[in-house]
Formats: sequence, structure tokens, C-alpha cells
Amino acid sequence: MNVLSFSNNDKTIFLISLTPMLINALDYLLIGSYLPMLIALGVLIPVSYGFYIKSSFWSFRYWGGLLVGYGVVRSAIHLLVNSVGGGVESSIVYQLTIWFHLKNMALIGIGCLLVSKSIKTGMRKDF
Amino acid sequence: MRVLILVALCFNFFSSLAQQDEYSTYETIKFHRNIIAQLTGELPVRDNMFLKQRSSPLERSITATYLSDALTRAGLDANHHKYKVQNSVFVLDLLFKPFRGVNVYSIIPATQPSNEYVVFGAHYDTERGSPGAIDNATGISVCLRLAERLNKFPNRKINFIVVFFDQEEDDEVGSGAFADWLQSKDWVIKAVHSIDTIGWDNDGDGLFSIQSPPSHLESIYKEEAILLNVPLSIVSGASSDNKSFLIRGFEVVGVSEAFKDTTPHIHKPTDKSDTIDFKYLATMTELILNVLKRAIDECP
Repeated sequence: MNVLSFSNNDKTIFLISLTPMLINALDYLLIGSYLPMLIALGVLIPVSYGFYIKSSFWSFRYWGGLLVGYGVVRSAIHLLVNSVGGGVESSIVYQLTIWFHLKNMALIGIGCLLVSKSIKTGMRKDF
Repeated sequence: MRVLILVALCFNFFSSLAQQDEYSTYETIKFHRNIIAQLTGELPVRDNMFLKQRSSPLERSITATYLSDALTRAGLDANHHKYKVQNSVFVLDLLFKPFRGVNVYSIIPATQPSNEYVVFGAHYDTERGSPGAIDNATGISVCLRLAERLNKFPNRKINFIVVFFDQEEDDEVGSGAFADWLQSKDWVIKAVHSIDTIGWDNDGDGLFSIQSPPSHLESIYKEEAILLNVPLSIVSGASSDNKSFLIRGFEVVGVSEAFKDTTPHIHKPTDKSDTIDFKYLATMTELILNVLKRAIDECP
């Protein structure tokens, strides 16, 4: 039986980390594009189930890893667009602002935090 | 003595007619010079604000406001068609926000009940780093002049819509959204005229191109070109906002400078107003006006 329970802090961080993906998916849902929401739910439902119902540290680690990967991909695109220069749609280029960069750093930071917490939680479970 | 007076009167009469024609072309050129200078940063759009390009969200917003004000000065009600559409590639939807923009449009109403519309328009955004004089301040200026002139006609049997499209340089996003919006209305759209890049005539032959016109529009353009003694070439395909309407089944024609003699400054920082042949632009304005007037005349 899994006797782990997450602190309120952990739950708050987890909830905050879900919001960017949900907000983005909702933005697209409102203009009739369903796939981002389907993908968001496909990822978030199992992760949330693992976190809230099963109290699984694996869900923390998995979700943290996804956030880090997502932030890294967006940062890589930012660097690529800056190095390529032309040939990229202005709609994309003008989204690559300081705020975009800060969001990426926040996603990577939260992801790393979740992964490190899951490692510590895993170690507590082992003991 | 009577003969002399008669000759003098005839001379005055014909010279005043010539002055009116000259005045009209002169005024049109002056109009275009002023609008294009403002849109390309040579003159301020308002206060001390200069537009060096019309590419970023802020620059496009300033341009949309400028166009709204210009339409209002022409005696029309300006409207903003705001849109949000998904990215052209699905994966980008997961990483970035949707396209957002504003098309600016006015309806020039018919003077009798009518559910028929003729649309004419030009995109107002530019490629990054380009002041966009020929591409497409020329198209904007032509449309503003046409709107002003059409609004003064006392009898209009058909409605006109003048529209300025956003984000043409990002794969015609604005015109696509506007075309979808038009399809949601129960209006009868008789024709769409998309005007893009219409200021370069390096070889001085006056040639212009119309792209993929339906047969009845082709005939009209040919007839009006003959009357103005302007050569015309017909090309296939769709390379501007006309594409958005063509793929949705509208009767649309793209109007531009000659494809075989097109500006080498397109999308470059050198696309400035000193590359424009303003006399050519004035002639194109008159030709398109005559084409649009035919829409009024041909209505029952």
C-alpha cells in the first residue's frame, strides 16, 4: 500500500504547473481547434489521477520531466528562429519576447522542482 | 468680332475641361503620395509616431487605427473584424498562441435595397524590415481612394465593401478569416477584387496583370483597359489575398503590377515611396474605379 501523501505546497506547485497547458488548450478550443485540448487532457488526466488518487511519486517525476522538455523545446525554437533570421512567420517571431523566455525558464524551473521532489519522495518511500 | 468671341469662349470651355482632368489625376497622385508617405514612415501617422514597417502587433494595430480614421474621414463607418485562428502547422498550436489580427472594413451601402456586394481590398501588413511602399501601401492607397470616390456616387445599385486585410505576409491569415466571415453572412458576394503591389512600372509600358479572373471580370477589365489605352496581361494562380477567396469558391480577381515587370524591392528595406511610379498608380486607380462602376451600372 502506498502510504505517501503530498504536502499542500506540493499540491499547489502541481496545480500551478497545470495551468499554462490548460489555458493554451482552452484558447484553441474557443476557436474550434480541439486537438490541443484532447492532448492536454490525455496528458493531464493520468498525471492528475496518479498524483491525487494514487499519490504516486512517478506522476510527479513524469509530469516534471514533461515540463522540462516542453520548456527546452520552446527555448530551442527561440534560439533557432534568432539564428535563422528570415523565413519565419511574423506571428511566431513576435511571440518570442522576454515574457516568452521567462515563461520557459519558469516551466523548466518548476519541472526540475517536481522531479527533485519526486526523487526525494521516492527515497523516503524506500526507507 | 463675334467669331473671335466665339473662339475665345470655346477655348475657355475646352481648357477648363482639360484642367478638370488634369486636376483629377493631380489630386489622385497627391492623395497617394500623402497616404503612402504616412504608411512608410516618411510622414507621421499621428502626433510624432512614424511607421517604419507594419509588421509587429503594435505596428499593425497603429495601422488599423490609421485606416479606421481614414475611412471615417471619407464619410464611412469603419469596423474592425477581429479574428483568432489556429497556426498553419498543428504542432505550433501546442507551442505558441493562435494567430490574432484585425481586418478593417467599411460598407458603402447601396442607395436602393440590395443584398448584393462587391468587395475590394488590400493587405496592410508588411514583411519584417520593409516599409512596404509598393507592397502594399499602394494597394491601401488605391482602396482608400476608391472608397472615397464610390461613396460620392449618388446612385449605387449595389453595396461595396472596402476591406484592409491583416497578416497577408503570414500566409493570408486575415483574408482567410474575412472570407470565412463573409460566408457566414447571407449576402450575395458578386465579386472580390484583391489589390496588391501596384506601383512599379520600370519599362514604362503601363502594363498591369490580373490573376485568375472569372470570365465576366476578365471581360470587364479588358474593356476598361482598352478604353484607357492600358495594356493588360492575364496570369494564372493566386499569390496574394485572392488565394483565400479563390479556395473558398468566391468570384475573385487579383490586380497587380505586371508580373513580368515587378518591383525588385519587394519585402526589402528598399521598398520605399521613391520606387513608385505615381502616374501609373493613378492610372490603375482610375481603371479599377471604372471596373467597379460597371458593377453599379450592370445591376438591374
